[in-house]
This record gives sequence, structure tokens and C-alpha cells, in this order.
Amino acid sequence: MRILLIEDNTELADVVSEYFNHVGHPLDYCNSAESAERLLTHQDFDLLILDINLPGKNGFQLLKQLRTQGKGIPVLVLTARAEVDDRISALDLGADDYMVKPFDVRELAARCRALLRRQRGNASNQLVCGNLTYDASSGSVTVNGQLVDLRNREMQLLELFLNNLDLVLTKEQIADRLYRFDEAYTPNAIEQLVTRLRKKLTESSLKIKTIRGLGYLTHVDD
Amino acid sequence: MWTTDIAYSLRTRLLSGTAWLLLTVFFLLSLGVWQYARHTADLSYDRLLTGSALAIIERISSRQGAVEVDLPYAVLEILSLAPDDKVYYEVRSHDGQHLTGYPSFPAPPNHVPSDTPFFYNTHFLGEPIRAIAVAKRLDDPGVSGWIEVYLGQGRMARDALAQEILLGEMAVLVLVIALALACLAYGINHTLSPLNRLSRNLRSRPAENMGPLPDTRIREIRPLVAAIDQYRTRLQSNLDSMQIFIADASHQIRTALSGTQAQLDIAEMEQSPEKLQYRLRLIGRQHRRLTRLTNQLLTHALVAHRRDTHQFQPVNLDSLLTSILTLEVRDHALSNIEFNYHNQQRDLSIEADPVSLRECVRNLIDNAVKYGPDDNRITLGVETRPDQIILFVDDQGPGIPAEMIPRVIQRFERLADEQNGIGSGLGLAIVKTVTEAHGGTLHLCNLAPGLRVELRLPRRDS
Repeated sequence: MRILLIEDNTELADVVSEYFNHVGHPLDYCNSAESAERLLTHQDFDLLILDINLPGKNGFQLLKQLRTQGKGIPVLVLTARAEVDDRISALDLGADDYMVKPFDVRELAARCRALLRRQRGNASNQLVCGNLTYDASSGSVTVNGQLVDLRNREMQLLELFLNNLDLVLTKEQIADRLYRFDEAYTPNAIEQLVTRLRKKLTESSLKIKTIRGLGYLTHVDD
Repeated sequence: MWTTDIAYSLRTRLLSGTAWLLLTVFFLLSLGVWQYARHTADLSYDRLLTGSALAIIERISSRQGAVEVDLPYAVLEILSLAPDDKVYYEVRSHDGQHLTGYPSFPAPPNHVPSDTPFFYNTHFLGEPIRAIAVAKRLDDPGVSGWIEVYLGQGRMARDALAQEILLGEMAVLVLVIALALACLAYGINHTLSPLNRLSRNLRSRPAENMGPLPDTRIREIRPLVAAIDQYRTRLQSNLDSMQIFIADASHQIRTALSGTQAQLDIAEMEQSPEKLQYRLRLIGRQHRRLTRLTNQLLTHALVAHRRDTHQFQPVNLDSLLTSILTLEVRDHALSNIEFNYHNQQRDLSIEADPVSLRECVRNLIDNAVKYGPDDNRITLGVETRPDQIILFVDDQGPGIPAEMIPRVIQRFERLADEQNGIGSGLGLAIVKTVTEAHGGTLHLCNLAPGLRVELRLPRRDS
């Protein structure tokens, strides 16, 4: 995966770049929206990390422009402003995630991986989440290289979770995706399904959190 | 109570109010005096007329069936007391025939002849006159009936007298009113002088002198002085708490910074890689503490600012709370904390400031995480009552001793046995500020086990 960081603070950009390269994610950076535009026309990136406060054109403007051009590239917005308004409008403008400075570089990398996985779940057949590997074409799941025996519905649920990492899925949303119109289901059935899946994946770095009264959130620990 | 927005002077208002009142009184009194003056003038000159008319009556007699009038010249002398006024008269016989004087002297309408004098105002020969009608009964053979006497006099002398009386009385009135106004102006100035003294005192007072203002003996001013004193006390306590706040914040920031600095210094000298790792971990911990502290301070400043600017808008509670919860669950995905959500009214919207409400709820959850056990069970929920909306966060931590609850809400006042170093104590202060900005109240109560923090907001559905 190739990541482009757009950040005008060179020291921060250096540190982030060093860390990302250290953990094996190639990361390039530039210091303005204008130079990012030039880079994006020539090269392909899998993910943008975009600072909001930039000299010249700001991050929001770049983001808006990208989205109106129909570019679906995942964008993670960095903001120093604690104002949640910014975060909300960032998401409204089509950002996929945001982080508030000061942030933990490891956390940033994890968020980037989650974003890329979400993106890739749709595009490629194989998905690696820490020690868990999901192969859509063969319909197989391994944890630490060991094959995990999943039933059909468990497999569908896992795929749904992997495509919605770090997002809340309500029982209704899960039911909509897993059951056909003519299939009767109960919220209880979904709870049991999640419990079974969680049990089978105990050893994996995939954490399925239950939020009683709301739904489920899946997070990858890597 | 005056509700006008325009600045005005109490003195001018009092004076002009009284002046208007006195003017009205003056006007009414003048009308009365005018009536009185005319009446008095008429009364004196009517006596002359009566005398003259009776003198004429005296000289009316009948002789051989004919009426005889012997006009006494003394009559005209009496009337010459008003030298500029013309005198007219007429005597009519019992059958209404003109006997002597000016023919067709105007008689009062519907007049029944009588020996009681009757006074009336009329015009004769284009001149306003005052006239008297009086009659004498003759019961002689041949002459039987009322012999009528009419006597009129111009009004100039009476009017002059009436005017003289009027002007005299008015002069006295004007003098009295002027005196009253002057006394009033003095009185008002005198009464208002404590206010001037008060403002002089306030103006000349040095800012750091926060003692009470000098006492006043005036009962009406006393509440004002008391209110100013109360206001200053509140201001002082705000300033005090702000100073304590700044002092505490500086202390905490400096402590964390010097801790980090010391660890860095030691780390530079460290030879063994394991010890270096250890130092780095310590530095990391200190730094996280500093980050959290800075964030909390900034958030507190943010919510305090937004409280003052009232940025309210309709907020769907369900989407706000679930988005907060999503972030919190993600941030604590690796912990064993169990999160619950309780909301029966998913479409409930309230008038609120979403930004500060979000910070507030996040702080509540962060506190629940911080003070709770590793397998904490945290519930974020909404309950509605007819007049209130209750946001609550329950945890399974140790709770707070009942006697500590009021103090906990104060800034930087942390529990004595706090084990977790990363915490600034600002969390609940932020929560309190936001709650108050929404007109609500903050309640803490112990569960068994755990703590419930409730924001009770007044119900303002949007």
C-alpha cells in the first residue's frame, strides 16, 4: 500500500514517514494541497492522510475537490482543531476517518490499515488482519496459519465485519445482509451467531465488541 | 417601572414630572380664580345696580289712573362710580307699554315680573351689559299690575375689577409654584446625592480593593449597595477560582514537563538498552499525561467559550450518542470493558450545542473508563421525563464517598486515593460547565457497585 501524507509541519511529517516506512508502509509526503494535486495526477496512491491547516488551499478544499472529481481514494483527515464541527464536516465532505492532533503514530498506522482493509475487502480476495487471513475466493479463514472451520453464515458475518471495521453494525443491519426476505430470524439468533463466531476466533487479533442496546463493532488488533 | 431603553436622568424626570403636575394644578386653579374674580366683581357692581333700580322703583307711583315715574338723579350718581360704563334703562307700564328710558331694552327670556331683583347678562346697542330687572306692583284703580324697571350697565368696570383680582391671585400662584419647584429641585438633588457619592466611590476605588462599599443609611439605596457588593464578591470568587485554576494548571503542566525532561536527561546517559526502554516507557507515559491535560484544558476553554456564545441547534441525541459510543468502543476495543447503550426514544431531538455536549459525554465515559475496573461495564443512556431529559453514564468503579460528591465537581479536585496518574480532574469541571450551559444540573449517585453520573437537562424538544 502506498500512502500520501499532506502535512506542512516537516518535523511531524518526517516522524510519521519514518514510522510508516519502519513498519513497512511506504509513505510519501508533500507540504501543500497544490503539490498533492500534482502528485495525484501522476501517481497512484492507496490512501491519503490529509492535514486540514495547510498553507494556500486547505485540506477541506482539496478533499471536496477530490470527491467532486469522483475519486474514491480513502482519506484520513488530521486536524489540530479540537472543534468537533471540523471532524463532522470532514466526514460530511467524504473523509473516511479523522484523527485529532496530538495523535499516536501507531494509532494512525492502525487506522490507515483499517481503512485500507475496508477498501480492499471489496476489491481483493485476500484480507490479512493481524494473524487472521480471510480468502474470499476459497472461502477459507486461517488464524496463525491454522484453518478455522466456519459455517456459511459465520463466514458471511465475518466478511461483513471485515468490510465494516471500526464501524458500528446494528442487529438490523446485520440481519438485512445475512438473511433473505423469506428467512425468519430473531435478534437472539444474531447474538448466538456472533457468539459462535467470536468463540471460533478467540485466538485471532480480530475483536468483536458487543455494545448492548446498539450493535457490534469489530476492531483489528495489530 | 420604566422599560424605556433611552438613558434618562432621574433628576430631570422627577423635576419635569412635578413641573407638569404643578402646571396642571396652576391651570385648574387659574380657571377657578377667574370664576371667582368675575363673581366677586359682579357681586360688588350688582349692589350698585340693585340700589339704583330700587331707587327708581321708589319713585314709581300712580296718579289718576296713570303711572308716574320721577327718575331720581341720585341714581345716575351712584352708577357714575363706574365712570366709563354707559347706563341704559327702561320703565314699562303694567300693560307692557314703554314709559321712559331706552325703548326695547332687552328683557330676560320668559321673565315673570317680580319685586325680587333679577340679574342677567345681555347685549344692548352692540355692547355687552349687565342688567337688572325688577318690578313694582301697583293696585290702584285704573292702574293694576307690574310696573317693570330694567337697568343695564356696561361691563368695563367689572371686567377691570375681575382682571385685577385674577392677576393678583395668579401672581401669588406663580410665586408659590416657583417656590415649590425650587424646593423640590433642592430636595431631589439632596436625595440623589448618595447615588453620586456611591458612583464617585466606585470610580475612585482601586481594582484590587474588594472590601464592601461604605454602608448607607438610606433604605432605598441599601439593596443597591448590597447587590453591588454581592456582585463584586461573586466576581472575586470567580477571579480567585480562575487564579487557582491557572496555578493548578501551571503546576500540573510544569510537573509533567519537568518529569519528562528528567526522564529524557537520564535516558541520554543510559547505557543498557533494557533500562533505556524502561525510561522511554516512562517518558511516553508522562507525555500522554501531558497530552491529556492539554486536551482537557483546551476543551474546558472551548466549552466555556461556547457556553458564553450559546451556539444551540437541534441535535438528534441518538446519532450524537451512538457516534460518541462508536469512537469510545473503538478506542477501547482491546480492553475488556463492556459498553451498553440505553435509549428508548431514537428520534428524540433537543436544542443543544452538539460540540460541547459531545465533549461532555466523552469526558464522562473517559472518567468511567479511568476510574473503573478492567472488566468495567459502562452504560450510556437517555431517559426522558415529562420536563427533563436525563443523560447518564453508569460504571462499575468504586463510586465516590457521598461526602466527597460536592467537592468532586470542583476543578482539579481529585480523589485522594487516585491510583491512575493520567488524569487532570478537569473532566467533571467540563461536564459541569456544559450541563450548566444547557440549563441543566449535574447529579452523582453511587450504584451498587459503581457510579452514575446524570445530566438532567430541561426538556426543550426541537
